[in-house]
Amino acid sequence: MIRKVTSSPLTMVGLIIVLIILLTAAFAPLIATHDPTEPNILNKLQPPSAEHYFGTDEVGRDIFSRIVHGTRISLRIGLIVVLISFPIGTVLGAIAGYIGGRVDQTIMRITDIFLSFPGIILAMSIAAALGPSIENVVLALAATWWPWYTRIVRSSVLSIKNSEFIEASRALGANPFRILFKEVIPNSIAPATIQASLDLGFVILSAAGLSFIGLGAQPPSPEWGAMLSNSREILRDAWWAATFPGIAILITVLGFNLLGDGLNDVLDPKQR
Amino acid sequence: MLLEVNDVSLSLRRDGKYSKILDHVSFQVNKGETVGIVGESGCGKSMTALSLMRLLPDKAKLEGSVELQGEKITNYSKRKLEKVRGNQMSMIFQNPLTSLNPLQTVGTQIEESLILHTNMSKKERRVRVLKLLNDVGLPRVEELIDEYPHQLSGGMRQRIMIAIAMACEPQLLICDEPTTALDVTVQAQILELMNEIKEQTQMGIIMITHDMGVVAEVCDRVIVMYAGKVVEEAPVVELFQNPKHPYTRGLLNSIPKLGQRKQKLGSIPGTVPVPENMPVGCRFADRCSHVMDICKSTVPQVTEIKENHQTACWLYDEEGGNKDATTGSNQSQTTLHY
Repeated sequence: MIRKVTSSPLTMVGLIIVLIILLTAAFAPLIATHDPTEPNILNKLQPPSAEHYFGTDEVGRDIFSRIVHGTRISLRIGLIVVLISFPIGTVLGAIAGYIGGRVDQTIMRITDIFLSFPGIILAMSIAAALGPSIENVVLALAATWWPWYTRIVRSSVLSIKNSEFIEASRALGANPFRILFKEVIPNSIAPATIQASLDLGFVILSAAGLSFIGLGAQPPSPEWGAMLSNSREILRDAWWAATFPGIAILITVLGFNLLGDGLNDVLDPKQR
Repeated sequence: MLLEVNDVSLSLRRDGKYSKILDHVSFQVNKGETVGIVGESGCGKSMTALSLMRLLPDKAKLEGSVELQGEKITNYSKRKLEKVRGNQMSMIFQNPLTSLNPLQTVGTQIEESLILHTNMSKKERRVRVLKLLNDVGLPRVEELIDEYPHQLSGGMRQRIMIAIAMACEPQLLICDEPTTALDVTVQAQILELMNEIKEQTQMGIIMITHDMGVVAEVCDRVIVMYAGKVVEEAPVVELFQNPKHPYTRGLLNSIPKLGQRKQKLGSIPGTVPVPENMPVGCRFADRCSHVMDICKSTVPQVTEIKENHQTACWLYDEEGGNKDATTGSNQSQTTLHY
C-alpha cells in the first residue's frame, strides 16, 4: 500500500503539500517572522522583501506571518467540520441502510432536503442567521456537509448488509446495535473516509468563501478568506495582499484533493 | 430428545404475495446424532436451518413449533432468542471466505460469542480462544489469534468458523453446506474434525448438504427434502441400501460410480417447481417416473416403511395398494383408493 502511494507522483505531491501544511500549522509561531495581528502603520503596504517575505497589508501587518497563522484557522475549521459531519452522516447512513423501510425513507428524505440547496447558499443562510463568527461558519458547514456522508455510507451498507459475515454475526446472537457498530459500519466506511479527505480541501475553500463575504472570521483574525476580502480595495496598489492568501488557499485545496484522489486509488479494490 | 421440529411452515413475501417455502416440515435430532438434510438447490434445506435459528427476512411467516431441549423457542422474543443463538445453537455457513469479518482478527471473532454469552474476563477468553483454535486442529495458535481472515486458507477459515460456532459449547450445531466451498482433501479433514467434535461433546448436528458423499461420511440419519417438504427419512445405511421415494432414488442414481463409465449418469428430468406454482398433489409428480393419477391430485401422506424409515409417496401407501415400486403406475387400484 505504501508502495502504491509512492508510485503515484501526484499522490506524493499531495502528501508532501499536506505534510507541509500540517507542519506549518503545528509550528506557526516559530515559522512566523512577525506578530500576525500587530499593526504597524508606518510599514503599511510594503512590497515583498527580505524583511517581509510576502509584503505587508493596509495596516502594516506581515502577510507571510498572517498566512502561516491562518493555516491553523483553516485547518481547524476543515477538521472540525469534517469531524462533526462525518460521524453524524456515517451513523445516519448506516442506520438508514441497515434498518431500511420507513427509517430509511425518513432519513434519506431529510438528506434530500439538505442536498436540494446548493451547499454554499445553505451555509451562507445558516451563517448569516447565526451571526458572523468562525464557530458559526463551522456549524453552518457541518450542517450542510453531513448528508453527503449519509448517502455514501448508506449505499455501501446496502452492498454489504446481506454479506454472510453479518448473517454469521446474527447467528452468534449479536443484537442489531452491536452488528451495526462492529460489523456494518467498519466495513462500509472506506468510501466515506476518502470523501472526507477530499472534503477537507473543499471545506477550507468554503470557509474562506464565507469569510470573504464577511460571514466568517472577523478582523484582525488572519483567516485567508477574510484577508482576501480586505485586500480587495487595495488590489490595484498592492497585488501581494490578495495574491499570497489566494495562493495559500489554492495550494491547500489542491494538496488535499491530490491526496484524497490518491487514497481513493489506493483503497479502492476495483482499481488495484 | 434434543431438537423437535413440528409442522414448521414458512412463507416468504415476494412481490406482495406470500409464497410457501416450507410445508409442514417435521423431524427430530437426538443428542450426539448427526442428521443430514439433503435435496436439490431450492428445495428448502437452507431455509429450514434459518427457520430453526429464526434468521429470517422481516416479512417471513413462520408456523409450527421448534423445541430445543423441551423449550419451545418458536415462542421466544427476539431478545431471548439472541441468547440462544451462538450459545445453545450455533451455525456454520457455506462459504468460509465470506463468513468472516475481513476487518477483525481471528481471535476477536472467536471471542465475540464469549463476550456475548459468558462473563469471562479478557484473560480467560484468550485462554479459551487458544484452546478452541487448538481443538479445531490449527497450527501455531499463538500467532494465528492475531491474524486476519485473508491471511488464511479456505480450510483454515472453515476451522475458524467451527471454532466460533463451538465457542460456547452449543448443544446443537447447524452446518449449512460446510464443505461445499472446500477442495476434497480439506473436505475430508473438516468432516473428520466434525465427527471428532461430536464424539467429544455429544452435541447434535444438522448437516445440510447436497453431497451424498458427505452424508455417507458423517450422518446417522438422513432427511430428504423436496420442494419444501420432507419426502423421506431413514437411517443412513438404510437410505443408501433401500431408498424408497423415487426422488431419493434419483438423487442416489446421480452419483457417479467407478467402473460404470459407459453408462449414462442418472439425472432427474425437470427442475424443482417454484413456490408460486406448486402442483396440487405430490410435488414431485411432474418429474417422477412412477407417476400415477392420484399423485397429481392428492398430497401423499407420510407412510412408515419400517421402523425409523418413512416416506411420503403413494407407491407405499397401504391403501394406495401399489407395493411394487418398479412397475410404476397401477391405475385401477389407485383410483379405487381415490
